[in-house]
Amino acid sequence: MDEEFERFVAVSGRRLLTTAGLLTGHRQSAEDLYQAALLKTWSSWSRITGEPEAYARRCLVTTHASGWRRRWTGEVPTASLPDGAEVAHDADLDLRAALSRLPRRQRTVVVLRFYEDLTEVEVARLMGTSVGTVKSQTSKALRALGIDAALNRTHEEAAR
Amino acid sequence: MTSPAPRTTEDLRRELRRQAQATSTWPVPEIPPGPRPIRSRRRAVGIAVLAAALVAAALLLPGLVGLPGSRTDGPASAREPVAWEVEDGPCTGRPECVLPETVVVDGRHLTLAGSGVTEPLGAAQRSEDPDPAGVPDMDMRFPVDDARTPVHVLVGSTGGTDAELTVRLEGDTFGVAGSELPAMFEVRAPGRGVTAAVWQESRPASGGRLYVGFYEPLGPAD
Repeated sequence: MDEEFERFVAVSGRRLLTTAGLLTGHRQSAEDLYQAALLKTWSSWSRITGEPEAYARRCLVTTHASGWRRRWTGEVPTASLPDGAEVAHDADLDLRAALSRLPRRQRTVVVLRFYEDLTEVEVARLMGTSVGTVKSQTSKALRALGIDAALNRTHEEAAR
Repeated sequence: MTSPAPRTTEDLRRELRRQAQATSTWPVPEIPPGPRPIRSRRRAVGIAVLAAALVAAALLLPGLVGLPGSRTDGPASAREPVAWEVEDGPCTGRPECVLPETVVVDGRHLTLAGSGVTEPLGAAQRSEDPDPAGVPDMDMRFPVDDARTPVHVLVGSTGGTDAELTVRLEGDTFGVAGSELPAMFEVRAPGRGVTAAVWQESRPASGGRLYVGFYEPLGPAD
């Protein structure tokens, strides 16, 4: 089991860290979240019947969305470029800043819907909430990000 | 003056992909110390013997030398709630804010140093989405600077008096009924932090929330 867990981390660790980075928006917080999720996954390792990465991803999401706040660490949200990011235009910086200001539940929904490409039902299951809540959180997040939902529908219909 | 073009979800996807790309330069952290497997059987046996010796010493030594913390005159175990009083009422201004800022336990003034509150729980959530793998509804770790100072953990729920919670504090798992909530527990951190996990066992009242608060002494230890 120990070696299985290490293999799981070797295969899935990078993807989980990326998700943690998107959820938190900060490297240090992402590393904390990633390690917390690994600890939980390990503690339940013998009881996990499905895909371990899916379980660990759920741990990431529920831990992040649970409202846990660490004591003040001097870390503040920023709109500055993360390490390694491409040079962005003003509009991109505005969007990045708006993303960093989203409440964590809304940011979680945004990451799962628009990066992980999960359906509303899948997001609801992952977050342990209702589809209606996912819809309302998505709607609020898009409004906060200045995204025109009507325009999105037009684009999506045109793409079909 | 021209107004900027409205953003679309495609802009959002592009930004998220850019941020994801940025994380590719981050080194993947080491596996935390807890999950790291012990490969050597001899080493595992040695650690088990050492742990047993430490437990025995912790139980026997206070009684022999009269140190505080013995089982007879020390604080209640993590399974038994301790008496507490609100000194400064719940913070205001946010609907989810239910935790007192300062409390008094056994004459000591404690201040809220870390907390977590869930989003409102759906009444049908538990029955529709059982979690066989046992992921807690709340799971958090509170970093501790001084392991000698006990941490007080307040656990509660809103939205109903018939709540039944399962709480795990530092490996001790026990149930707490609504009539006892919110309940305060004293925990001595074995290392660099205190872990607390809470499961909502009963069908949660719609809109109810779980909350956990970690309290530390206000100012220098008494």
